[in-house]
Amino acid sequence: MATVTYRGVSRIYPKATTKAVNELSLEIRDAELIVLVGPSGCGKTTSLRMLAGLEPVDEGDILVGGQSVLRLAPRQRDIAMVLQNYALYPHMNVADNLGFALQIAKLKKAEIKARVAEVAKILDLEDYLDRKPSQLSGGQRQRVAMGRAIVRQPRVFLMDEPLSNLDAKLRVATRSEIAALQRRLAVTTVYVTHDQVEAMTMGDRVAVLKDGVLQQVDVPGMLYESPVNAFVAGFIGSPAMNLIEGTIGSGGVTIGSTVLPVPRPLMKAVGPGRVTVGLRPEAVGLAGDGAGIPAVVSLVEELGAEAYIYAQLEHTVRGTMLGAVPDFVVRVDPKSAPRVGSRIELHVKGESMLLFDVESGVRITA
Amino acid sequence: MATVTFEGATRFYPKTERAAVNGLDLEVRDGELLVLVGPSGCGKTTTLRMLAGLEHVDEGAILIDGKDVINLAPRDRDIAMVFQNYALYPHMNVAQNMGFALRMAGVPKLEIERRVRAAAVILDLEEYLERKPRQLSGGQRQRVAMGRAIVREPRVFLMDEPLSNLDAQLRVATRAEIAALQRNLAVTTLYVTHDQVEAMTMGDRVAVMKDGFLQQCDTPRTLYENPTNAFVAGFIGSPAMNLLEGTIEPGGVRIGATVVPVANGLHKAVGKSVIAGLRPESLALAAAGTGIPATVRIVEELGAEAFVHASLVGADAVPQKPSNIIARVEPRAAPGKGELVHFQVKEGSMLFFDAASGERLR
Amino acid sequence: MRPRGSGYLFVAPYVVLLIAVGIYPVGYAINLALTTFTAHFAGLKNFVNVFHNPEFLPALENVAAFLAIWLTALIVLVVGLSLMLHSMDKRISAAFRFVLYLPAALAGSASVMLWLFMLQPGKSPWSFVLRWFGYHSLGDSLAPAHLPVVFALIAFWSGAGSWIVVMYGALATIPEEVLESARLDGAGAWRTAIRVKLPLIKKWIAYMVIGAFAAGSQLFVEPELISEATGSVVNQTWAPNQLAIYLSFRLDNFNYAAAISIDLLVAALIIAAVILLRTGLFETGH
Repeated sequence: MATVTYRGVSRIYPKATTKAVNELSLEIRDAELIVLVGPSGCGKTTSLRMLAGLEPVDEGDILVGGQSVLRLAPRQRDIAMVLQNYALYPHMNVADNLGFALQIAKLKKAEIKARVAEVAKILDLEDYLDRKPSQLSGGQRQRVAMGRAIVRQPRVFLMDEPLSNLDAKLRVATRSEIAALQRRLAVTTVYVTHDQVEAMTMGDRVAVLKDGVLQQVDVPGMLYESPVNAFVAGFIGSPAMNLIEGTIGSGGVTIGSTVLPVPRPLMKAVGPGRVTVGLRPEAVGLAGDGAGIPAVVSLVEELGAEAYIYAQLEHTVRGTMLGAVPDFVVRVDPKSAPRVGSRIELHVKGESMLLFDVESGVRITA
Repeated sequence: MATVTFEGATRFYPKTERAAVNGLDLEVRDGELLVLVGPSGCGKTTTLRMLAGLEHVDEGAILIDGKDVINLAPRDRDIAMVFQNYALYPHMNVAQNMGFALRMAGVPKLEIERRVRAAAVILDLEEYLERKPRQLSGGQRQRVAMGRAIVREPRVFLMDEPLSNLDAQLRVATRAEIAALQRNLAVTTLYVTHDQVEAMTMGDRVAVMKDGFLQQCDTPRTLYENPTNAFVAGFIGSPAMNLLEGTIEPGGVRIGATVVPVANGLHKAVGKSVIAGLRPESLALAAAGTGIPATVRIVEELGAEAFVHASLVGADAVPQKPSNIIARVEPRAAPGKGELVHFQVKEGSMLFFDAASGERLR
Repeated sequence: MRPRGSGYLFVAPYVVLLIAVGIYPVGYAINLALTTFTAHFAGLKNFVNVFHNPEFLPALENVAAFLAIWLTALIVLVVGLSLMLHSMDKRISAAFRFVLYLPAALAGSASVMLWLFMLQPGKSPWSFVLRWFGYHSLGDSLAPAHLPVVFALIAFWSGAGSWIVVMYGALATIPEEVLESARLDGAGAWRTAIRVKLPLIKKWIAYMVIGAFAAGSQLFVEPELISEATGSVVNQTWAPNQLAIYLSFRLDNFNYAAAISIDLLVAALIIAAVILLRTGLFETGH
């Protein structure tokens, strides 16, 4: 039984003015794969390392299986970690790399051999047991790194961006393998990544962090549909949700000179004044009744199965970065994508509009 | 402004069995952003470096604006390169980094200052001109690397995976910016990446390479809809196209235990072993009893859509070979794990490839 | 959290040695330098007396001349040679580095004997060169005016090789991409060396100067051996360190000797501090 609990955990680096991790409280269930995700510097890796014992905890407590581990050295916590750069021992072959931790733990040779063989089978490494890391491909090294963790049969797996050094294609293939493997082994896993697609596809639950503060922890679907604030809304989902300012009036929300209708329950909850409107690329269409928000197409990204239009809203001030900053993304069918430079009108599909407080970013709910 | 032509360009590394780049014939049009894409070891970076002059060309020729440059030193080719790790000079500040090549070329100081400032404005680096690379974030360093290239006003830009060291989010934002920038500057650009999404979204045309050979060079749309072989079909598009072994039978193709009806055109090939290509979006959930049966292994929820990873089964629910299939579904309609589902194939969306060579059958 | 205990255990033997053969002798020397022969406190009297000793200033001048030549040669030639080796083909430069390192593998005294032999017109294979300079005997070669140059030559010959290896290693830490970028930017071999490589090995050059200054100011083996071998040609108090030994073991004046040693130590520390502060040798954050 290995639940993991962070209780008001904080970490302040010496000579820093802000906390790297700010009173993080999180309950991770047994056998769950939870993903910590967020931009660089959000505290996700520091949180992972505090659990591992590689980083001191300045405030709060961390419990594994209900017991505090703060006083325990990393090797006493019964956890195994997969590092971003794998950190394989270059002078040992795959079998020795896999068995090293077990040798340190003084397991019997026969036992070590058996466990190594079993893990090699699970990870399809049986033909490579004699090779050194320098003779392996990137994907194989990644599997050895995972094997080293699995062979120890720990209570908790920690993974620090294990896919970031792989080719894009290999990344996509490996992430479903890791998810399937974790499900099979049923070991509590804490997984860190900066890639929200990875987080969404792999996590039983996903915890979004920003500047050391936990923003929201939920199942991927809920994070996508019910983000708790504008940051989570803009972070989860790719391309990012469009967040534009508008003014609430009697007819709906005014963006530029266009009035868009706001779903009834939301209208009741929000007061007049400025508000941030959130519209996902797929929630916007190019056809509808009445006038839409006028915009000019500046870029078309063809992805095969769909296309994304980057458009410049006519009423906003042009940016100076790299020529033109298109500020609105719309998803369209690739066959009916408009041309660059053409004028389009943006309409909201259905009731998918989200509203956020313009100051705090907190979502306004009915 | 220039065209770049590779004519039978070949590079052999000593003591290796196959050529890193093998007889490459490729033309980059004036002002075009051509992306070289492929898995590790396919030869894309070697090709770029041959054009840069950092790699020896063993056979063939490389022409810039019609003139063979393989005997010219890198600095005489009038090209600029953005390296994967940016390769900024650690001891110089941003302004000096950007101006270094111009200083080497003897450009007058005032002109250097003017160009550096202009590039800094475009790239939003004006406040950072005095800073050293170690005082910059990853995204800022990436922009300095681009600034260094822009300031030289070269005939050709070379970019070696410039986005791969950035956070995923920054990568998505920056690729649109780079594409827009290239369009504005209209400089012929050769761009290398292993990420086919980057290739698809940025390239005017995309050249897919494998094991040193060019597989296909076309617009993203054409590569997606009309791949010339199974490798390109499986490489372009994410999640990858389903490539399932099957046999042609009268009226359709047998995949596992099901015969999928095919409109016309394959009658002559009855009995032939083929690879059937089905993109995840050409599969739709259908009622029981029709279409291809499979049991759901996992469902990937991506917010705007969901992908079902399933294993093909026969009529008696026994797992069949070929086994894996990925289909795109609406997130709200996603089936649960372990469920038995049926997939219908959209009319006319299947592609066929020769089972042995991988070549496309038309 | 961190295994503190084992860390201290690892460092302990070194600390013991450091105290035993480093800090304690320095303390002892300071004590000696501040007291008289009869162990009474003497303040700075020893330092003043040493300064007035007729052999002290000449010794200082000798070593200063030697250092000027030696340090310049080290900085210019070692850095120059390393840069050249770094631009060459890897295998050729490896062979050269090996050859350049060989003399450093010789013990200091063996090097001196070798040079004595080389500097003797009549016996040396370079006799024709020596005769061309107008030297017909060892005394001519080892004329007082020549000594700083001679010692610099010997010290360079036996010391440069190691420093070249270090400097080359420093050059090897420069990412290949940065050098390729310089190539693309139009910098030839010379300009790449001056504008890209040199600034990036500043720290190692500083490290070399600090080490070389400390070793050079305490020059002993070369002048002492030549002094022994040639009898009167080079006197026994040519360098300050020799003077200290002479005072200690010939004249039993340990206090004066200690004063000289402390002088040398302080000089080396001051130079080290100046260089450290000016080049930020210990700054991290690359």
